[in-house]
Amino acid sequence: MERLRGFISNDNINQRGYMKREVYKVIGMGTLLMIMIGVATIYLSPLVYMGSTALKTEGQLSDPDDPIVPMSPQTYHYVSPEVETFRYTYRHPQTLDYQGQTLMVYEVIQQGRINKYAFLEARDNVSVFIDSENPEAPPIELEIAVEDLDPALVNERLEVNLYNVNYEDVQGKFGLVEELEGNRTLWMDPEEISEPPFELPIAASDAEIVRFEQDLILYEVPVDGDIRELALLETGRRGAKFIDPENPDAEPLELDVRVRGLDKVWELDPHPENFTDAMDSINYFKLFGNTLFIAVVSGLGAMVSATLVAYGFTRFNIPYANILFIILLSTIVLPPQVTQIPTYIVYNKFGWIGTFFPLIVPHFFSNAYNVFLLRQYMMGIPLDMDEAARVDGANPFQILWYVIVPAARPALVAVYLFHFLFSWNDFQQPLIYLGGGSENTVLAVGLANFTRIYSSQQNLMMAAGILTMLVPLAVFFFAQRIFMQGVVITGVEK
Amino acid sequence: MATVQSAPTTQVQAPAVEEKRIKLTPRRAQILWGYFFLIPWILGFFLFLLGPMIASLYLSMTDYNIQRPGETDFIGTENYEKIFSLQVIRDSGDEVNFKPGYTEAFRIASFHFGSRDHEVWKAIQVTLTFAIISLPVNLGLALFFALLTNTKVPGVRLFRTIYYLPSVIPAVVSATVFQQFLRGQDGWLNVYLLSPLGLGSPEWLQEPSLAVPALTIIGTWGIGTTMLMFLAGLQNVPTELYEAAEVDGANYWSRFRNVTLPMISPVILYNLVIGLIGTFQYFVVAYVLTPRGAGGNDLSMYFYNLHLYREAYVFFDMGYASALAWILFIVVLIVTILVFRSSSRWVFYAGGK
Amino acid sequence: MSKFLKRGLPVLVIVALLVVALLPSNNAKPAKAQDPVTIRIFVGVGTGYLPEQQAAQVALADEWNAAHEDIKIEFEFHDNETARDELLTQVSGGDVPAIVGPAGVRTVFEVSDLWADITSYIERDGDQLNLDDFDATSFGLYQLGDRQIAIPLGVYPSFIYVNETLFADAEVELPPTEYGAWTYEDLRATAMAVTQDANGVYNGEEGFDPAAIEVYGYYPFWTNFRASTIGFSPDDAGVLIGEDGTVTATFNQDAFRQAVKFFHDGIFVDHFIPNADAEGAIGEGVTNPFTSNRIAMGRSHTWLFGGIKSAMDDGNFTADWNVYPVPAAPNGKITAAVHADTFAIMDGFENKDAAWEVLKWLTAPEQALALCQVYGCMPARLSVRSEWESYWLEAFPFLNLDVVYGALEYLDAPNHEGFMPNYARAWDALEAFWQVVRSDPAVDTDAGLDALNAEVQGIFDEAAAAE
Repeated sequence: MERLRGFISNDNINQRGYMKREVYKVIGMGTLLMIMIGVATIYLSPLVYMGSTALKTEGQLSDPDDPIVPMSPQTYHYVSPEVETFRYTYRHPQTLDYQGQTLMVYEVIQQGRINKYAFLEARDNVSVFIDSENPEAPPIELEIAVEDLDPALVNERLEVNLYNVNYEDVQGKFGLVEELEGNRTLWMDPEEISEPPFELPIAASDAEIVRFEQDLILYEVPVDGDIRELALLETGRRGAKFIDPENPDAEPLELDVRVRGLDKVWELDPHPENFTDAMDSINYFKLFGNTLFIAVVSGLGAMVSATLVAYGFTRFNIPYANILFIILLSTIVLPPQVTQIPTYIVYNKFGWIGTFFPLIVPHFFSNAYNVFLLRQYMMGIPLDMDEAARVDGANPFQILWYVIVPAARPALVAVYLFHFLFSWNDFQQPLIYLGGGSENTVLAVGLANFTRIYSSQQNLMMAAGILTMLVPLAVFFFAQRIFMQGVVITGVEK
Repeated sequence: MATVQSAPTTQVQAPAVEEKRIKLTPRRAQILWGYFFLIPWILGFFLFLLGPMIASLYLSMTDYNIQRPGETDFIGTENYEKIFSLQVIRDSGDEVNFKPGYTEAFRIASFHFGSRDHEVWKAIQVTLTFAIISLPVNLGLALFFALLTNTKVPGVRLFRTIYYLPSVIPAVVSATVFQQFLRGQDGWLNVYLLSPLGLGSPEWLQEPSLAVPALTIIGTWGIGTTMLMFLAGLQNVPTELYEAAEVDGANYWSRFRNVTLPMISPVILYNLVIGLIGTFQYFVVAYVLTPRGAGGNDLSMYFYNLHLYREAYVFFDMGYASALAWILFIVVLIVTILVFRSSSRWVFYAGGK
Repeated sequence: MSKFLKRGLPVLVIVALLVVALLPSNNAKPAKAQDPVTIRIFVGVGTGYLPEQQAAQVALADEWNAAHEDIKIEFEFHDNETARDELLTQVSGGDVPAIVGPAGVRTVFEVSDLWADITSYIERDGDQLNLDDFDATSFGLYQLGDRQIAIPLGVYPSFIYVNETLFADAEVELPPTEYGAWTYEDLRATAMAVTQDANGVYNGEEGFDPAAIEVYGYYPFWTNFRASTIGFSPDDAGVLIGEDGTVTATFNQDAFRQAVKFFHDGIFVDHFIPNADAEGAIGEGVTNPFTSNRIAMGRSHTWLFGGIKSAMDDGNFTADWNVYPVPAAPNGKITAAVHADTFAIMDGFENKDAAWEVLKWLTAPEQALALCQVYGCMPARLSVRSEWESYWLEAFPFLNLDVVYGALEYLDAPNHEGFMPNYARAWDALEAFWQVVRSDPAVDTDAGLDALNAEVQGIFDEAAAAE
């Protein structure tokens, strides 16, 4: 209205004064906005860290030189002219050459030891063995049937070249163990490394070698004064070999550079699946429901009971109110670590362990933080308002409902928010009373388990943290509306 | 009108009707109503709180050890004596020899103070230092933010949310974020703020002298709730008071001093007391940030509650931990009462009292 | 008004007390004779709590529950970080679980009085158990005086994990594959040769920047004092238990001096071991430090297999690697520290007979193998080791099994997590010293060890005085 009048008025001085005020207002607003944006930037930076980390993979976190945003090095798929090899440990039954014969060696378990005995012969009910580690010693007779024993195995570490074999019904990628005489070859299957090698009547040259393929990381390499994007093939102590992606068939470039000192060629590569992983790892929606239920119901209890108690403390001149109030406060002063066990005993007596009761019921009996806050607030509400109501014949409940509650609305919202947030993030209580791993728990515990399990995997931890935050944040954002309403009401009525 | 009239009538009529009704004078009715509203708390106190409190008080006078549940003895004030055991030796240049079981807790000038639990003294020192530094910083900053966001700047809701946002992050997660954030070599604070300003790259979490400042920085990030409380208080200041002050020609600062501060003083009291309790019970961040929760290099992050927790759950000495808790309890209670006593001088309640 | 206080409050107290008194009687139903006993197994003080591990354990419980009417098994999972506090709260709160596990040696000895002595059960059911089948050393790990606290389930031998790709890049020869073929001095030289800074300069070359190391030559993962120093083969693992039961701390013997100096120099003088701060940076973002590609050599146990496998499956770890034998200590002895896991019955649990039946079943060959595959341990039962071996060869065809089994010949007995009086406080004192060694470049390690030994002896004596 005032602003409108300013415009309508023809009075020059008035208008100038108004203009002046407006200019000051704009400057003031501008300064304020600058400060607020500055503070917001500082406040958001750790959150940016959380957000960008939550979108990374393990690999994007491990190197200290990695960029802040989730980026991956670009790679180049390179098919090398060389053959792919396969390293494996081949286990085959152990044998012992004993006086001209080849004996099978078995594992004989005795008194907490595995003995490797070679089986010589079976006699009546006993089997006769030779100790493979001490063949000179006299044979050992044991009442064991050799069929019940596991054969002892020898480990042989081998490396073979891989070939694509296509012979009759034998097709696949196999490792060449040995080339035998007469165009025969011995092969192994990399998928079945414990199986003995098999023979094929083909020569090695009949099969096609598997060319070694790999994804090479692209680096920005200084070559003769300019920077080229080259794919790293092989690192050496002082130099390195690179492939030029534009000319992959050329000889690898040998350059005198330290690979770790080079920059990689980065590209944006966010991984939102961290969020889905976190959600999949626990029964997210079940836990979400549990948490919401507990937070909403206990929040209601906390708000209502705190209102009543604070009302009792502030609006009635009861004796010893101060002492009672100090006792009330003292209940939150004792460190929770020492009351935890006695409290557990109490709830255990009630039969409440494993139920939601310990997380909900006590809040219906008010909590010192909330009572204190509301007390402070209610004491700031002028008494003349309830006097007026009392004069109109209102009983204490009516005064509470029609006078105090509307006036204390922002504080009530604050209490509810405060409690909601507390309940949403509360970890210790649900952990102790609901237990960790079950579905019957809350989000904070579920996600904390998830994040702690992978506590070294910051990406998952941050994703889980963001998932926990979302609801309280949304609640807060919308609760502000009620906050503002509170202002309007009290502002108008006074 | 009705109340004013009914009050004397009750007084007059009551004796005539019945003996019992005498008690229901308005004063008595008010008291009964008052207690009636306190019932939820009184009931809850007896059901859930009193038992555990008494139990912990009893435990504090035993040698209860979780590891040996069957062998608990009542030992009277022995635990308390252990906490307060002090032996003073003046430095005479010779080797300082304490009584058996005593180790040096601290020294002042040329006096060596030995104790049977020297860690508790370190913990008290750390906790007090932190309280003195962190509490005013947090309260001041929270009030500043509340004032900022109580304006009509465009997008104020968004700013409010941003400032509040960090306090909805679970403590464990935010402690971890700050562990990265404050790291010496590649932490963001050093890399993007301090190094460009030529302030070097301090090892925030390793250097003992920087421990309390580092924790204070972490703490300022979570002042959203305190800010919220101030905001609730600020929004309740009647606009007509400001208008009246403006008419009187008061500038911003004097309006702030003479209108805003007194009007929100009840909230300041609240935030002060809650902050005090919170600071004395400071635990999670120090526990997460230091290896094994053991208080860091030179015990620079060894808070009282950390000591208490370790005695109880790491060393299983629940009896001794309970004694530590009760000492903390009594100290915080005394400080709280003192704050309340002083509050009559600086807290203004529009609702009287 | 004080009348109200005098009359009203006592009434309230009485009401409250009545409510408290009545509630439990409503809930605590008297157990009927035909009700099955529930054996609650508390999982989380060691491994076993991971989501992917839980299903297999629940399946075992289902299998048992389908076959038994009188005894039911219930696995209760707790996160490792908080499990200890939860367990203590439950035990003190009178809600004692029947069985706790899988628990390591340290857990068992830290709260040794909380466990039931199963000696008589073992004597009774010895034949059924087939005691011969248990690895002899691991059985002894759970012996405390004349009490046998548990039957071993699995063991975790240790070796040096080597990132062979980093060795190839540095053009440094790989460590020997035979036990006894190298010493800690050789390890030091090798580790320094592969240590590299952010500019790619190797340790020992000109311009090497020890403040910006990117590849560390050696890192004993998740270190603690006793685990890190045991490789130097100290006598009695530092805890000498006399004939008469007196316990002497010997943490100032030469082996410890050499070990502590080795690590301290390795961090601050020779620059090939990460300090406490760098450890944090390396661990960030990876399942285990070895898969960060910033560690050329690290000593750890079989439990790393699981993490390496998942990192390889996800494509986050592509380097060539293998296990190599631990080096010999300066005193010539070789020690490859071992961990063990088991289930133990709680002394406070009433129906120990039922708990024993379950324990026996859990440690039987078939179940032990199933559990060990989940936990990553090598079964303590010798008869199922080859199945375990096949499982890991499938994941790592190149794995050097000779090194894996060779480590069993050099176990630490007494164990590095073995008994100490006043365990938790003694352990904490050792760790506090270890933290100083790894973060303070100026510390005098010899004087520190002397002071430490005196302090630990004091803690031991305190326990003896309390007896």
